[in-house]
Amino acid sequence: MDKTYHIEGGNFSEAGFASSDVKKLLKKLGLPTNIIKKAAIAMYEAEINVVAHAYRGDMEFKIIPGQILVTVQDEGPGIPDLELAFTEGFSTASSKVREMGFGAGMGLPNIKRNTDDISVETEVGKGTRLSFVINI
Amino acid sequence: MKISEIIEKIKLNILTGDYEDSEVIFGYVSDMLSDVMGHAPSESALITILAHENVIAVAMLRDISIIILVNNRKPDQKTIEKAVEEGIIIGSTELSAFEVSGILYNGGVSGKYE
Repeated sequence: MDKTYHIEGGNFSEAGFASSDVKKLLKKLGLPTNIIKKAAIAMYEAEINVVAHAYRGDMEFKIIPGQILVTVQDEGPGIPDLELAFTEGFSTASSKVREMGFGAGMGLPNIKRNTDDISVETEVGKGTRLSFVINI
Repeated sequence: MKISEIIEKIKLNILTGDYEDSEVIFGYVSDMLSDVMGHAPSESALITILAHENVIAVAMLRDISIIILVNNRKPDQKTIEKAVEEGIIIGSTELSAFEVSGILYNGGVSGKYE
């Protein structure tokens, strides 16, 4: 099974749509609560990253036997220092985004903590491709 | 604590209409959504000043049952509608996050860091 969601940069009112939709789907499929929770957290953070930092992106969600696979490809500024981006507390979010309660510097760390494998390919000025796996 | 008991003790004005009077076991206080996303316990009461619609998405994803808006913060109509749709209770109180936390803690609601 697979699904693709389009994410528009800056559109906070739609943020969380893809992760909510997937959460409902995983519940319907009867997956264990802890797996659903992990997938929901990782996907929400990935959506917020696109909304807060990129211009637009697509999130592809796939279930294969034993695994949930998610890939988020965006057009955006890219990440100049990946190690810093994975450091809890580090954020480049704007003050407007912070006022909304985002930009705690926990996005990528939260994704890493809730997934079994994660990879990021990024090019400054072009965009970022984030992929993660959750074992079922 | 029962939700009805919380409503009475902190003078909570419920904005989402009818509610199921369930038991609240855990509480979490935060104004950072990623922090809530990462650490709030399931079935908990979230005490916050954040009153916009992204809070509902996070509450839904984290299975938070009630959002307590402190310092008399009020959500807009769209946020209320979204909460009703997802079955999440939202209420607003004049008390601060500190006061609400103290009252809930004394009432038996506990913290749990996940």
